Amino acid sequence: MKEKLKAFLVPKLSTPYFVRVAAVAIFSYIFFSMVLTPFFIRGKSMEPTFHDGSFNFILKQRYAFSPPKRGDVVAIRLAGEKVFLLKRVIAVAGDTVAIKNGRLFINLKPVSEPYLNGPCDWNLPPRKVEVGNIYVIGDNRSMPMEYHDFGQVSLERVVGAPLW
Amino acid sequence: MTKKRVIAAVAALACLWGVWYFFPTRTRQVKRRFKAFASSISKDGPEGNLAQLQQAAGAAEFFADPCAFESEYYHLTGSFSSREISGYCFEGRSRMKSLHLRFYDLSIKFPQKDTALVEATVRLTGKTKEGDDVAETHEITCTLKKSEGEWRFTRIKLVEVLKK
Repeated sequence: MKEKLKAFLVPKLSTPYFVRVAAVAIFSYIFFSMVLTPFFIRGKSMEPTFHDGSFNFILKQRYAFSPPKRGDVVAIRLAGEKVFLLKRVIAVAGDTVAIKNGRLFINLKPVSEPYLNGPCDWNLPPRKVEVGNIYVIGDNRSMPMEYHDFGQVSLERVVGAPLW
Repeated sequence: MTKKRVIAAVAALACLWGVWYFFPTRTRQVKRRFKAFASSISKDGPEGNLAQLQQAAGAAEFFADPCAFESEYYHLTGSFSSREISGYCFEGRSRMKSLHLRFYDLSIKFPQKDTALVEATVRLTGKTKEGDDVAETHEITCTLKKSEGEWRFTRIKLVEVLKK
């Protein structure tokens, strides 16, 4: 038993050992770059749902077979895949989006947003979401509207969704 | 004999490192330029006026005279001289208590010998003198041209990923 434990903890540097290490390294690289990518959240635009400094994974294949729906939180890529924007989908292609005194209206109907926390006085004139796009916004709408990045984005930029 | 081999191997590695470090490829030259520019803009704490002027003048040296900017987000579009860029750098930095600029996901192409087209994600973080947090992330496309042995920005465009 002791020898087995020793062999496990301090393995011999043999060819099968190096093959196993290489296999684990390749599998880890593929898994963490194509299936679940770890990331830290930097910024407060998704408070209170996602906190600044917290850790999560992006599930890359989340939208492989179906596009994002209203209410989903998605990761949006910029120039590459080291930095993402994390935003909530509030409207999909064909929808008309408007915000009046902080209240969201989709296709002229008010929408309940239980994930919001805090006052919001934003006003956004109605606009239609184009085909192949979604409209995204952060959950933290207590900050002034001009300091908050939101808007229409191409579906091609959606790389996945946070795991939790 | 073994000792001689180890010394030879170390010498060979040192030579390789020397070639890699002192004779960088064009791609590495451009990457280094971005890193140096980010470092010239960043600051960790309060600075005196003279130091700020020096830093701003140093930052302006990364730009061709004139350099074209295209940014709907900052309402900054047009061609700016080195003097104007230095003024903007000074003004922007003097409003901040701390400022950090970082570039991610640099994709570099060379359509001509002395021209580089770069796509990147830029992240600007810091604190204003009033104590407000600043965190901005943008995708940019830039053109750099090599003149007098240095790569200089001739055009910078902020890509509008989210269209309000």
